[in-house]
Amino acid sequence: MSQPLLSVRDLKVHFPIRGGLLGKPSGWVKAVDGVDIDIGRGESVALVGESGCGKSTLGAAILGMQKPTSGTIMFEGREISRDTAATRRALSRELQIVFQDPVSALNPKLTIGESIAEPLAIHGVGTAGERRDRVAELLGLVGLHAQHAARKPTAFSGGQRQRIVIARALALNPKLLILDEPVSALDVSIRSQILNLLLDLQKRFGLSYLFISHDLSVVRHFADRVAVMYLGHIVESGATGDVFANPVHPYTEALLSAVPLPDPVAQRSRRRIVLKGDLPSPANPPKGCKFVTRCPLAEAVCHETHPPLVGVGDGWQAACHVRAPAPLAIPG
Amino acid sequence: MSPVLHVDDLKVTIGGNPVVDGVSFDVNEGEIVSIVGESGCGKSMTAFAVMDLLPKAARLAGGRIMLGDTDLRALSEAQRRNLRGNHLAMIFQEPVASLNPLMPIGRQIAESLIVHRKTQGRDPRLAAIAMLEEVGIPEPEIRAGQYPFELSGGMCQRAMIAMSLICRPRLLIADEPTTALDVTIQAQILDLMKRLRDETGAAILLITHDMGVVADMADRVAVMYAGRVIEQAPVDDIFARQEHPYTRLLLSTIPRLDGRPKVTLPSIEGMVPDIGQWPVGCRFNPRCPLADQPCIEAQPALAPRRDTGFAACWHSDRVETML
Repeated sequence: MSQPLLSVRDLKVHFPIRGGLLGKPSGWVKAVDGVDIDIGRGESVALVGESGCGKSTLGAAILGMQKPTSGTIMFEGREISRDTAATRRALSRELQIVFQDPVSALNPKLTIGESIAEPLAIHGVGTAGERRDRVAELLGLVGLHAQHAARKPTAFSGGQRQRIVIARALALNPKLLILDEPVSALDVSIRSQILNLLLDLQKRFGLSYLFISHDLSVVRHFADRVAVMYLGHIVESGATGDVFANPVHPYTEALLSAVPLPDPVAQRSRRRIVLKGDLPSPANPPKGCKFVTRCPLAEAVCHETHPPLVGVGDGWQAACHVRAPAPLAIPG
Repeated sequence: MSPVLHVDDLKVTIGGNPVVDGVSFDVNEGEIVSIVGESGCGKSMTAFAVMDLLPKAARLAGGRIMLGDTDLRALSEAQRRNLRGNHLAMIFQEPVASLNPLMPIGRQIAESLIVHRKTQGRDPRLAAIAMLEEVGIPEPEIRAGQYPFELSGGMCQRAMIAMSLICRPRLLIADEPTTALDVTIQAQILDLMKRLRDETGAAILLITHDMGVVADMADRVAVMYAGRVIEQAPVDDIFARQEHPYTRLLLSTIPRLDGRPKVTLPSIEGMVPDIGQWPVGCRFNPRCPLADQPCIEAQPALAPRRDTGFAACWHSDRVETML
């Protein structure tokens, strides 16, 4: 593969736990703790995991909304995580986000035309007339009409508002869109419309997507590659088809088995792996493998050392002492 | 034997506008019946009407609700209160918001025993702890003394299930019980509900929008759209073959773990109509690819499907080949 569009290496985002004497941190929440991820041009990479796994924090760090503790984020070969506000603003032409809740993502006082034109105005793109034309074009791209531009967000349904948010994100012709649970807040009958739209836009403009989701069926449908996160770490990553067909990490396996298929006959023949207990608190993760407290395969070594990501196939890695043992290290 | 719950021609209005418009269904002992539909279809209002917990703005405008041989609408408020929690219990989508934040969960669970005088010589505190253990909460003695904020969402949902089941109700209504939970926790809660159904023979009315959860849990399914049941049948039959275009489309629009990636998914045009804006004729007609003149003129009634169950569509014979 040629140079990826986005390349994240050993990224850490740690939050201090305050409350100690003199405001000194009494501990750290390691929301993202040493993550590598690459996104190629025109590629969709999904970040999956349950609440508290760090997937949204990782997205925020890539977008520059959250300062990383350490590690690098390269965009088109340039390190961006230590950018100044001004260079960051220039970068926002290339990198945009679509949030889960389209209702709170739109300013209720602006017409949707004003909202969509806002990034153009901020970056001083075009004259007022050219911006109006661009808004009309963008509304057409997302399946709405130019006449809609004069209306306020309340005139639109949830699905239409998500289309408006997507139009705004596309205004500056970005190369990478971060999609943070883009269909989770929508009605079931509307979700497929938005998924179809996103896939169509990707084909037309060669967009790259970082797709953050907890919905594995949507990820399977949408993403070329997938990275599964658990307590700040990627536990498995690879081509979506490979990982979903033959998950290596026991967490990936449990996650997939827990999704009920919308087919009662098929569902009855599946074996559901029910994990014990809850996600441990990120403020107090277990020693060794982070999954050890819920893992049905855990052995002594899992309580002691954190397993590294090990290649298990073409572009496919897993971090598990049992299923993907690391090649023997030479002592000394 | 009469069903545990028999709902006949139920009608609920808000500000004079119908939100539930002539809904009928039964739930038998040990059976899980799922009502499925999108937001605003009236599925939660149906559940609230059965529980007699309708919001202030809503009015029960007609129909019969029978719990066994008891007509719930003929009861006094005190009699209904006695039924609720005792023979009839409900769990909600937001477990944390549905628990009293100022009371340890053990007390909350025990309270329902005390209120309904079902202690029968048992120590309510010990009974609550035993119930917490039954729903799979580790260290139940310690957890019983904790407040909801000290527990995770999955734990709170277990506590709510413990609370709803401690009086061994004949009917449990679960309104989107796993929607707010992560998928591995959802798996735990679904397993728990099935196990309790098997052990106690309780009837369960499961309200959800998730077709996967329906396929996994339900014995029978009723699909609601704009206040009405538009199709109902045993779970295998309705997933195998649909006779209403809405059911057909709803099932085909969802991406599946075992489906083909990146294909263009079928979609349903337009959106769910708002309350008070329901179209005349079949309420699905503005979004339906099969709609023609009869659909705009008159509302179809539920009619027997070819195999089992019922569907309300003028063109039910064309649904199989519509996509």
